Amino acid sequence: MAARATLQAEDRIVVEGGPDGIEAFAGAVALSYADSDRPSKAFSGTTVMREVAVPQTSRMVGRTEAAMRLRYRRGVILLGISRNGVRLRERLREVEIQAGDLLLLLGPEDTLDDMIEWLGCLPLAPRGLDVIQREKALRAILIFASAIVLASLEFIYLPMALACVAVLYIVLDIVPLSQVYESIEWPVVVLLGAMIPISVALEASGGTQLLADLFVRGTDGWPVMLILAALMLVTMTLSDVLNNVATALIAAPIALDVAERLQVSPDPFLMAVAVAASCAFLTPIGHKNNTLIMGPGGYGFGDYWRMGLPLEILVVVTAIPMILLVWPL
Amino acid sequence: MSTDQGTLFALIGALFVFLIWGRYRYDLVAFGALLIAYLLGLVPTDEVFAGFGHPAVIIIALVLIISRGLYLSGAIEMMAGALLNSARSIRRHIGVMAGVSAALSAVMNNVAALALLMPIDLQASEKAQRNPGLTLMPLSFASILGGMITLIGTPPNIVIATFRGEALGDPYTMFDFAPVGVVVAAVGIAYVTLIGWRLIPVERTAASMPSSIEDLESYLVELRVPSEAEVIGQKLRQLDSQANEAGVQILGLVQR
Repeated sequence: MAARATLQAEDRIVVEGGPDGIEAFAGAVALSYADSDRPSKAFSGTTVMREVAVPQTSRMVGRTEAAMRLRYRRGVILLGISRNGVRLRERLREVEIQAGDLLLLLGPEDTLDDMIEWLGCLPLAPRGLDVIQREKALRAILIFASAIVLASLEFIYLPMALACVAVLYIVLDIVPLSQVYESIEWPVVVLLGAMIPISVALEASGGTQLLADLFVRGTDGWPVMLILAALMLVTMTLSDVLNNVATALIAAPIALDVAERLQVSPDPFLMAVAVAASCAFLTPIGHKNNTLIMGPGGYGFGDYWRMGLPLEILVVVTAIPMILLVWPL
Repeated sequence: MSTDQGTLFALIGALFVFLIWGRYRYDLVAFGALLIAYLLGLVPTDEVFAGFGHPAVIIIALVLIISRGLYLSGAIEMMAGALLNSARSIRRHIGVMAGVSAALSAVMNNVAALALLMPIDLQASEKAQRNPGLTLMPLSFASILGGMITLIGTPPNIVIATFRGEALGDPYTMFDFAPVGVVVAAVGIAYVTLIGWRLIPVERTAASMPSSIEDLESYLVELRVPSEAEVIGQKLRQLDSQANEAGVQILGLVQR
């Protein structure tokens, strides 16, 4: 067994532990992290270690360090991977990164944080409060708040108000131009842009009416409260496994049609869909935030519903009377 | 059922199956479905890309830029930092964090709000020697609940608001979602704070817990033996005592 093996230069010792422990051990035994035959940019200045969480949107998801060549191209060293109690058997560089993983990265102090942002990962330590520029923060809040107020009072069309805020943020250098397009989540934009014509086609072909008809016939003679509850349950179930935007796009026209058939106001039905489409408390895949906390929280796939199922029931029970109160039939 | 309806149902059924399966990312699946819908003649030529000019698409993109701006300017941390301290009991901690999380998600992207609060929560857990699993799920759920409060809080609300505009003439405005959203979020947060966290199946007591989150996050790391290292020629197990002292475990050796 390896315990009897004699150590030679360029051997790799595989260890498991927390970031501080690993640093202490490497220091005590005088081991190093990177290849010395090809000195990397990372070692020219002060290097720092950061723990980061990998969200679904990270550009590392589904790729390996070997494929990304992080060390040579970016000067960032992938020190370790932590995956929820799963012991990884491959060589570190060959491990395919998954959403929810925690990574231990090493890099130059002055650029590591930018690199983490470029990778789309989240550092697991808060930024120091000293980096905040008070005036900029106040200006950002003020611009945003006035746009919201103006749009709410219907002085200005909401998308235009938001566009003005975005332009002002860029002009005032609150969002650097280089980060404007990076901050947009393009997959969601593409999903929405592609799903809208399909949803429109479903309406135009009469498919929406057909589904609404089925729904109305299935709930024939029920009080409106129960029909709303059924609509919310169906929408929530869809939303727990499906993207919530896709859910809303399909469910909204059906809700409208159901309301028309029952000859009641459509607003309670649209509101019920809005609330239900946002509910995704049963699995880590229903909402990006639930995926994000999977690694740091140490949760498994089946841990979410215990707290989430009562919450979904509570949301239905609370939302229906509130909806009928605020948006009468 | 007409042929068009049948084909569309089959297409949307297949779309859902692919989305749930998750092998291919949802944007690719949806775009593929759009192409197929066009090729089958279900979507007319002048409407294939009309979705990309839809106000909902523009709003979602703009909200993300604005979220980034609020984050970068430090505005959110300034507000959040003033409200937080780690010396609270777990119940009060969850209540405060969930409240802040919901309030932030109402005006910015949910993911950005969570990204901002998660490090603060992890730090508080470490100081209080608590399992971070007890507080992170309430925080995440609260951020989802908070999105229900405003039009821009969550993408489904944006979709529904613009859909109403097209179908009935008047879109929902910013705070039309608030009366229902605030009550639902408040009830949800009360549940999460008072009952919910006790239902999370993770170790609760500090006694059976590692003393810090660092021990909980156990990394697999490869360390290199440099050519001039003192340990060359030693046996691997001779390093065990130093490993124990540092709290790490030696798992193996990869030799060249």
